[in-house]
Parts: sequence; C-alpha cells; structure tokens
Amino acid sequence: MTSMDIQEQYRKVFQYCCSRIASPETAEDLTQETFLRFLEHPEYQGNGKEMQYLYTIARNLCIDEYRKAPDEAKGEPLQADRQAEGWIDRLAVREILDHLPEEEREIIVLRYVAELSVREISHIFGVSWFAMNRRIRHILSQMRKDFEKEGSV
Amino acid sequence: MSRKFRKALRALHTTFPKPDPLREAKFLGSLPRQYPKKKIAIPFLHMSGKPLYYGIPAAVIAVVLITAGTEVYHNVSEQKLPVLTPTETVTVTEASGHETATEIPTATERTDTTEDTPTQPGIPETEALATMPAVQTDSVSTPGTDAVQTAPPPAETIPQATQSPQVDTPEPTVPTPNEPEPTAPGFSYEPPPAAAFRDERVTPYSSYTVPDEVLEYTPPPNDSLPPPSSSVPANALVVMGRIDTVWYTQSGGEAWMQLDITITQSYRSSYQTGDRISVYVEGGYMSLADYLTLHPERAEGFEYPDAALQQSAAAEFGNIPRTGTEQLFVLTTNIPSDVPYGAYTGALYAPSSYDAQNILQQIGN
Repeated sequence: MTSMDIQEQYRKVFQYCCSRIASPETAEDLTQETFLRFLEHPEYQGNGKEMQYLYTIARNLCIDEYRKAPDEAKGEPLQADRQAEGWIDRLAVREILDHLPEEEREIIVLRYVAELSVREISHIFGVSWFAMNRRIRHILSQMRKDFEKEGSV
Repeated sequence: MSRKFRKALRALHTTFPKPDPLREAKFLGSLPRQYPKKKIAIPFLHMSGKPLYYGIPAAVIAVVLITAGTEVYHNVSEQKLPVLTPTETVTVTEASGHETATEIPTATERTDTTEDTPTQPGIPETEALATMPAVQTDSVSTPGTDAVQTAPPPAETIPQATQSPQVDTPEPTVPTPNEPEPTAPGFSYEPPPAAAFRDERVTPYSSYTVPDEVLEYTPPPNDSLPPPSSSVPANALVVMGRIDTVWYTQSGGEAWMQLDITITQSYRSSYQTGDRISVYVEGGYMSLADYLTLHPERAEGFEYPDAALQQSAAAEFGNIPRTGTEQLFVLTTNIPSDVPYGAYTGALYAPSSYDAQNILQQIGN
C-alpha cells in the first residue's frame, strides 16, 4: 500500500460505493471491508495493479450487497455545495449520470470520481484499452448531448 | 457548452457524499497497528502448506552453490590459482572523463602502452603482470581499491623467470604533480560508465498520424489550463531542450502533442544536459472522426462520408514544433488525468523570442 494515498483512496472508494449503494453507512462498511481484504493480501501490492485490485474488490462487494438487498442499490441521492461555482451544471451532469444504464454509470464514476485511468478500468471490466476508450467516448458523447438539451430547455 | 460540461464532469465527485470523518479517522488510524506484518524471508517458508517437491529446485540450487564454493576454497587454499607476490602492487585505476590538473593518461592510453611493453617470452600474461613494478596513482585511483596485495605463494608455483624482476624492481616512486605519471601497463579496471542520463520519457496512450488532408479549426480556448502567462510560476521548471520526437495525441477531446525532448541546458530544474523527458503541449492533430464525436456541435455542416472522416485530421495548432529544433520550455506537473504519469505540461518559446528572454531574465539568467 505504498504506491497510493490510502486516505485519498478511502474517499474515492467510498464515493464509488455510494454510487451503487443507497445507504452511506453501508457504503462505508463496504469501503472498510474493501481495504481490509486488500491489505490482507500482500500479493495485491507492489505490482502496479493496486488500483485494479482495490476497485475489483469494491465492485464485487457492491454486487454481493446488491444481491442481498436489491432495493438499496440505487445510489446516493445527489448532493452539491450550492455555494460552489457551477453547481447547477454539476447537478445537471449528476442527474444525467444517474439516468445512465448501470454499467455506463459505473464506468463514468470510475473514470471521473475515482479517477482511474482508462487502462485500469479496462482491466476491471476485462476488455481492451481501445474498447474501453471507445466506450467512454461514446458515453460522454451521449451525456454531452443530454447536457446541451437540458441547457437549452 | 462543452466547456461547462467538461468542468462539471471533472467536479462530479463533489456531488457525492464524503465519508464520515470520525469513522474514517478511526479506521485509518487502526490500519498501521493492525497490519504491521512484514514479510520475513525464511528459507523454505514459501513451502508452507505446499507439497514437498516444491522445495526440490531450491535444494538443487543450494547444493550446486555449496559445491562450487567449496571447490573455489580448495583451489585457493592449495595455491592452484595464480596469486601475486608480496612486493607487487597492482593498481586499479579508474577511467573517468573528468579533467584533472595533470595530464594523466587515460585507461585507453594505458592499454595501448601495455601492448608496447614487452613481456617475457613464455610467461603467461597473468604471471607477467604479476611482475610489474609497483606504481602509485593516487590521483586517479578509486578509494579503497588503490593497492591490493596478496599473500606470498610458495616459490615452486611461480616460474623462475617471473621472480627475477622482484630483485630489479625499483622502489615505488610517487609522481610529482607536474610529472606525467608512469604508465601502468596491463591491469586496468574499467569502471561502469559515468552516471547515465535520466530517461523519463513516457509512451503516449494513443497517437495519430497526419494524413494528407487536414481540416483546420480555430478552437475555443481550453479552460483546463491557465492562460499562458509571461510570468514564470514559482514551481515551474525552466529548461532548454531539443525536440527529438513529436507525437500527436489527444486529451479530453482536445488535440495535444507529446514532445520527447533532450535537455540541452537546465536553468531551473534538477535535470542535467542529456536527460530526456516528455512534455505535453496543447495543439497538434487528431482524427477528425474522433474530434467530431467529441464535439458534436462542430459536426454540423460537414458532409463527409465516414471513410473520409477516418482519414482526415483536425488541426488545432498552426505552429507545430519541428523535431531537431531547440526551444525554451517552462514545465509544470499539472497534467490532465489521461496523460501518462511522469510527463510534464508546458509552454515552449523560441530561444531568441522576447518571451524567452523575458523568462530567462525573470529566473536570473
């Protein structure tokens, strides 16, 4: 766990879990469980694939949680600091995000909230970098169109 | 609109809740105490819970190493290996490119001298070397390896011819600084090459080749980076560099270039001349098909078939840096998230331009 900032990743993993689990308490439980499982296995560390392993664990835990209580897995209601500049745009993007299909939403959260590289996301989903890059572009293109539609209303 | 969208996307994490600070602190605080486990290398520990045959390769290697070590020990103890006499000193010299006050021959020159020095016929080279007069080369010798003396071997192990020079060997002389140092034929030590240049170039995640047909755009200003300023940020690096390679790539839907440069002069950085780095600068070319996908508002008015789009490029920067030219670079580590880690972003200036002179003046050059 030397090559990444645990505190920063804690926040990101938590927000990733929040995007998939409604209850913040459950999301935080899953976050801590993710780190515990990650740290229990030294072989996950020091090979440059820490992020891939970390988010794969978090993803699997979220899927397990979803199976246990599917009603809870709707994602955290959106929040925004209304004092911050551009909060309306952020809320608009977040609403668009919440209406994306499950997997597309997950990809965008991993890319822009967890700030994983396209390569790391492609490893988590088991597809090639090119395929993932193309997919992200396609999703962004759709989101941009929706964003412009909302802006013009 | 697309700028707003990009900005909002990058700040998306602010729409998600933050973890409970108390729970977070408690959990993170418990980690170091809970996981102080360090792996300790204990032989054959890796076999725990595994079949016994997992240990066979390690055991075989251990036997081979022990046998080889024992063999060497016996050879040395029974004087089977050539050794040096006590009055002989072999000097290990270091060949270095640094200039010294006296003109000391380099290792290469000494090697040449060796060839000229007659060795006694019929004596193996190792033995002939052992008969060399002692020479001190403190000024260039490596500390700790100046002189190596070994224990005397039994007389019968050394041919008679090799012992005679011991009698005639003059006393070791210490060269004065003004005198050229006597040449030390033969035994010279080739040190590893001087500190290698740092090579911190990165490989772009994707790159475009420029087709014949290029459609030019006047792009809107990119808000992801601060506008170029004539003042040099306090934490920015300033180097002069020669452009070796130009890669055309994209970041966040905008055309970027990756310039691989060799530093020719470092004004404010820890780099040295010869080091290599990668610098991302805005502009360049990218596939028109990709460009219009990411900028759909610009697709209106283009009636290109898909095949033509795939073969066309969008140009966003008229002044493409040429390879082989020298530029002044002001570098920051404020890189976009989809740029390979280790690269810099930067602005470049022609060395003779007013901006370049202004920058150098600001940093005191």
